[in-house]
Amino acid sequence: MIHFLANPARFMRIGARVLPWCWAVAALGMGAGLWFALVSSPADYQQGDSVRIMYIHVPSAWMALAVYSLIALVSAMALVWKHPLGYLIGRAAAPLGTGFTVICLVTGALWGQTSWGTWWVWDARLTSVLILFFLYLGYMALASAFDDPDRGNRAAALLAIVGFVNIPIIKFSVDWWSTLHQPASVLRSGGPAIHPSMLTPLVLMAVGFAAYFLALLVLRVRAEIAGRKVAALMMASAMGGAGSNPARRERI
Amino acid sequence: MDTIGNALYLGGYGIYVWPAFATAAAVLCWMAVSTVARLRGAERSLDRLRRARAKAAAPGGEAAPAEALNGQGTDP
Repeated sequence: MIHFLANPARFMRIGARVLPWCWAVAALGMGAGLWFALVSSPADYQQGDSVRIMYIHVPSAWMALAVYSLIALVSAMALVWKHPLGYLIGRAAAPLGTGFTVICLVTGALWGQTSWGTWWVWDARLTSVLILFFLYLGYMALASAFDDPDRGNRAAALLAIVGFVNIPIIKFSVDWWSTLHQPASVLRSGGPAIHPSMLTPLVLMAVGFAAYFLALLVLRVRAEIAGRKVAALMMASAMGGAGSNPARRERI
Repeated sequence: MDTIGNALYLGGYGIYVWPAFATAAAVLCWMAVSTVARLRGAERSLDRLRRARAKAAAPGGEAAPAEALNGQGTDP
């Protein structure tokens, strides 16, 4: 399956086919999620209406972790099997993952102020998510830091793989250390410890965020492929075109 | 009006909840806008280069593909 999708032309064909479905699921998921989150779901008996921040904070946190895991996976594939599409997917996904991390951090600070009385505390969960944010920034900076894009891609891929160690640290930080942040209440052994009236908007928003990410990822990969073709054409023209085969050079 | 006021007030938590949702909306919109801008920029550059190459390849064509971009190339 992975090797099947590694062909850029095939990936784009499948991407074009799933794109409308992604937009539809994103609109339905986020639309219904917002309705449940803001109107239909009850206020928490302890936290009151501040609990509504959870419906964007938690899905964005899941997406921040999932997108980074995806980048690490495609980076490993690109390094091991020389699939150039892996680099392009990584580069396309990184700004989106950064966006979800920003949402997670900002909404977390707002929720923290209402629940804990502080915007920020240097505990294990918050600090490890901040490190994730810097890993995203480092990945994007490194990918663009070299004149030779292939060197940048390889360096950024290595950073993504090494930085993946942070993902289980984020997930288990609330179990391994004493933190202000509450432990997992949805993705835990023994099933979700959250009432269905609150689980419904949470899941709907998460599905909406995931579909939104996939739709934008397809478009961004398309942009990356077009960018590669532009670079190849520029290179061909800079070399004077002697003995060049434009069709071959345009292929990534 | 009272209902709207209550919805905005959210039991006193409105000043935290609404900025949280506004931040999420702003970031999600930025993601879409930057994605579309990047895609359009790349596809426009590619079209311009291809047209310039076709023109250069045609008999009597002189335009150099690299000049067609006027320094507006996209990052590979």
